[in-house]
Amino acid sequence: MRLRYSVPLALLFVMALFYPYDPYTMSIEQAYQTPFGSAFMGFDGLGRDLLSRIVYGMGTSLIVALGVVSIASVIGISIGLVSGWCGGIIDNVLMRFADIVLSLPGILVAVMFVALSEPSIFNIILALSLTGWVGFARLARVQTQVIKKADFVTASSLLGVSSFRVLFKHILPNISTVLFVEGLFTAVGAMMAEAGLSFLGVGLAPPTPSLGGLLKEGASVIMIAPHIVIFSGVGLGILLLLFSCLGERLKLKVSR
Amino acid sequence: MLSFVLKKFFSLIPALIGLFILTFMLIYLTPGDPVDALLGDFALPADKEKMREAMGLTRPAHVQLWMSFKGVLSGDLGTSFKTGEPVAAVIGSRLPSTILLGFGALAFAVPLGFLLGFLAASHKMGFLDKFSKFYITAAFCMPSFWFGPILILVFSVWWPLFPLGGQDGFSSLILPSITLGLGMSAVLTKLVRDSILETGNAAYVKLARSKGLSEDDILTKHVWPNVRIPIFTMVFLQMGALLTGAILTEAIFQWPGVGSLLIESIHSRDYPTLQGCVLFVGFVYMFMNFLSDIVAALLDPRILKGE
Repeated sequence: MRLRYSVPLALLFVMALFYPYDPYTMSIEQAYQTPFGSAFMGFDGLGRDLLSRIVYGMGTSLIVALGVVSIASVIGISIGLVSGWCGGIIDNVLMRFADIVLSLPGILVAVMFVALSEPSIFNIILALSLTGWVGFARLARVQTQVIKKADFVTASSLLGVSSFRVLFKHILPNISTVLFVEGLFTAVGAMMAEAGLSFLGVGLAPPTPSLGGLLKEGASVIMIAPHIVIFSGVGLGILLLLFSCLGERLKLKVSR
Repeated sequence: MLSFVLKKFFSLIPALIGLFILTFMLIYLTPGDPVDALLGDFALPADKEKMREAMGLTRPAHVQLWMSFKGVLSGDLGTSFKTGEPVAAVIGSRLPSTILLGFGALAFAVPLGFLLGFLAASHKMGFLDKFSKFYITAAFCMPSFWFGPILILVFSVWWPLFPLGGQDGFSSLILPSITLGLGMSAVLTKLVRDSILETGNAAYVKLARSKGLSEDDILTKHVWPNVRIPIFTMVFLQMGALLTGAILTEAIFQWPGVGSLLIESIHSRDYPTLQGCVLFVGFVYMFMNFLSDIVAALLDPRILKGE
């Protein structure tokens, strides 16, 4: 099962490494050239090879997803573990804060943050992590509360193991699968949001290849070059489908 | 009930204040002076200083924050840098378009979601169920900014049934509504299907069936009252999501609503309008979440007891 999901991703990297066209090389005479001619997917408005731009754009999406999941999970899981382990007033304060962040519309915060800072990959990752950690925190908290009552946790506490060690050596490994599933869904949201930001023109600045940027360009020239929208959307769709299917599968396995 | 409503309402306030401070801080910390944006590159330094003084930009941050907060409380969102009109009035003039689009999306998503979800549940594992599963997955993996342009391509370019964009009569509403409603229809389909199937397995439904009640009676008297709670809650929750989704949909179809105002204000560095739009959209989003809590409590007294 794992193989089935990793094949498309591996293919993506192989393509990115060995594909003959560079995603940045422009040749104006080939602008908007239709697919299946000299290049499989045709060319964009500046005569850059569309397939390489899509493949690199998918790479950008993956980098953003990885970045958001890393930052959001580290922050969220730490808060969730502490909240679930300590309980009481600490739990209350942290979770009220999480509730507030959860009630903010994430995409709006990200649009605002990216629009007012330099549009770079790092800032986009930061903007999406700003609200993305809450899911991890809530999940880690609930799971910790459950595992906390297990005998082996009580035993290690009685043996005098420090809370820190119990949390990271005993509790975290036991809740990591559930958190991994959450990470996959967070990745889906992050890729969607990054593309959305770039589509709105507040995301990554050209010439960085981004699927959202390609869709924005394609949507504006849809009358003369519909292939740009069609193919870049397929690229994004494949990524989203891959991650969400894997997430659903794992979720079923975990809940069983 | 009253104490529940009040409690939910008061928990709304810190989130609103948080959103306000966030928008204020982001704009305050942004490099680049609004005065430069206002007066242009060729303004005299003395004029800029006068303008800064007049706009209160020389005051310390916390004073500016407080002034702006007082303004927002009294419904004054500031003045647009670009047009000089009050931001609240500009938002007000764009609001009807967004509301129209929102209702368009609801009119598409709610009947479709109910119908598809119901059909899928009543033909479990049949063709319709499989189709609904496919629909949900497809809708989930098709972001609006791909689905929208594809709709334009098919129904405006290749087969010119609807206009390309803008707001001009009923026909211009169709494609944006479908684009905006797609996600919600998928969420509803899944929810309706899953909750009908789940309730269908409950002991009281089995009892009703074994007593010989007709399937229609079971559905309307035993299944529906329990199924409607999560569904109505979700409809209200999704209405908040529709509003943030409208930012993208309006950008795709050049729909003259609040969402496109927000994006315009980013590109023209019109910070008061940007802040006003973010606050407004954020407020409505949170208020819809609040309403969904209330609706859930109204439909299900158990939620009140749990509090």
